[in-house]
Amino acid sequence: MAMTGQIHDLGYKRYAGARRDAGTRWRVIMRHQIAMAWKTWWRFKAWVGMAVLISFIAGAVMYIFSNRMFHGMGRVGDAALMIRDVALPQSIAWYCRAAFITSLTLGGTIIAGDVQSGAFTFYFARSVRPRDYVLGKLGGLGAITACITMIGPVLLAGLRLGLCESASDLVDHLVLLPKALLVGGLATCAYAAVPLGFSALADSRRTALAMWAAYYLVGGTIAIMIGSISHTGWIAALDLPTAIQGVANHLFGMPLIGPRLSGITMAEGITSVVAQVVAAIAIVWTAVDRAQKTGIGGST
Amino acid sequence: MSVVVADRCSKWYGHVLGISDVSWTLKGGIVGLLGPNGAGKSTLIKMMAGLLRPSRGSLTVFGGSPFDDVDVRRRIGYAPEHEKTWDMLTALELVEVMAELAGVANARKAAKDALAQMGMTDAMNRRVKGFSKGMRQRTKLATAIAHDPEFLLLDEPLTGVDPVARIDIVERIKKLGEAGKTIIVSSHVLYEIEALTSDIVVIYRGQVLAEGNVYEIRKLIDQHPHRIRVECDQPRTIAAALATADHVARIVFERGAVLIETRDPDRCYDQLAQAVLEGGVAVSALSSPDNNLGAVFDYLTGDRR
Repeated sequence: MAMTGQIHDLGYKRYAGARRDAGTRWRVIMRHQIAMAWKTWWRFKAWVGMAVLISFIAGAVMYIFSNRMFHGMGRVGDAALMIRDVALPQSIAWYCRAAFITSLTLGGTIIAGDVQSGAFTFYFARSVRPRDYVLGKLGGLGAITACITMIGPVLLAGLRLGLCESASDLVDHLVLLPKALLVGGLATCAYAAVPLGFSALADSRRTALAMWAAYYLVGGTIAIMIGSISHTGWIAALDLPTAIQGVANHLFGMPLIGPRLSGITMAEGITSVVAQVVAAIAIVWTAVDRAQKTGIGGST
Repeated sequence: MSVVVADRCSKWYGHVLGISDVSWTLKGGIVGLLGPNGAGKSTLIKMMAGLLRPSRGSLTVFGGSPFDDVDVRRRIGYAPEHEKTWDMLTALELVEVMAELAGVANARKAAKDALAQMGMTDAMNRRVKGFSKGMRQRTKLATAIAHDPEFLLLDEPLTGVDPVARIDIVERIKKLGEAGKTIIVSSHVLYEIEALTSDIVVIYRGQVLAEGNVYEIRKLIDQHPHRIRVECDQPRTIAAALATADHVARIVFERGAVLIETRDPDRCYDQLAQAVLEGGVAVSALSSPDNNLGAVFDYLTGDRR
């Protein structure tokens, strides 16, 4: 066919309205992530409720065993005071359980869900860069997870400070706050980044979820067993809740109870969590960058 | 200044060729990108939207690379072909998020304006999940225009839309063009493009065959029967109304649908609309399989098998 006719130049106008800086996109993605999570009760609200319940029970235990009637009761009184002080570190395991359930309903499917729903097309056809996307998703999931793993321990630490009987006691226990923040932060990073990493490994929500659940439950159990049998702390610390609980127990000066925790040093616990978080972020970054470059998410 | 400049641009998906050695310049206006399915329309549109990087050659929009430059992308509005979206959101929430992602300062107002422009004000607080095909297309268009882009890329915006919604969407796209936006609309159906613009770019097997006036290619296409598939509750009523028309070459019944082959699509569409109205037929989808266009392109390229 011969070239015919002319395409008429109707001109275009340059948009001169207000624009936000490109650096703010990650905040939009983060906010959207939280808003989406908040829409359904079983994805997020129910597990925040579980975290509130854990905090309430642990707080009640702390309050009850702080009662003056236990003072001067010899070994019973000492036991009561010990229960008061272990309530916070021992609650960490329960916060981890709630965070794991949240990772099953949210975190483990986020990126696979975006691939499946074609959302990458929406993101990358706009002024969103891969780093905005990764930061936004991590930030969103981090904020969601922090509601479960960070707020509770910090509130419990605050309650423990409130139960102090003297100013000097209060000063002695002030260190509980940064310790609770550290453990909560470690758990938040673990339960936000690692499931997100698994969600970037598959294009289907179900596959991503199955991989994450298998890694956490089966892989974690195997790591504990091998670690216990071989008395190798770092292998046992590959199980995320074990590593976090181990760190908590070391930080709060609790005895290391049971074969799961006996051989884990604080360094091993922290190293394990940090290594898994870094690996997960690297996976997310690589997968998103590759997906953006190959145009995944759009149909042809 | 040209809006789009493609210079010997090619794109491969592994060993599969999407676009081959395309050199093309777009200055403005509404332009129809016409070609059968698999011709490379979506690939070219995605490259212009910054979703794909050319494997070879270059493609610039407003003088920059849309793939690398976010400032270029914020001047582009893209409505993808696929139907997938965040169904659990309301139309307003969806468009608002898209506007925010594009950097609009007052995203809620922009979203409301965009939805109003697409005639979706009454439905904007309803979840996308319950929307008809036409409403989804309009919502998708609203997401593309919410940040007031200068350049709009609409990938098959009329696919599967019922006749009434089709006319409405066509009018709204025309208004955007009259407002000074440069718009590319892709389709494999000539009559959809024709309703929007007379300027077309013909793409086939990854190559730009021609660009220019739609009437030239229409003359060629009219020599081949045009197929219209009507999904409705009364296919026999439609068939009865059109059976005696001299332009109808063949009528085939399918499950819940009727396929009409015509040599005069304009008359056929008129009579079809009349039959729908008079017979009180509920049409759920209207589509035009692209076999006829493929045949014409094979003819044009000398590929006569």
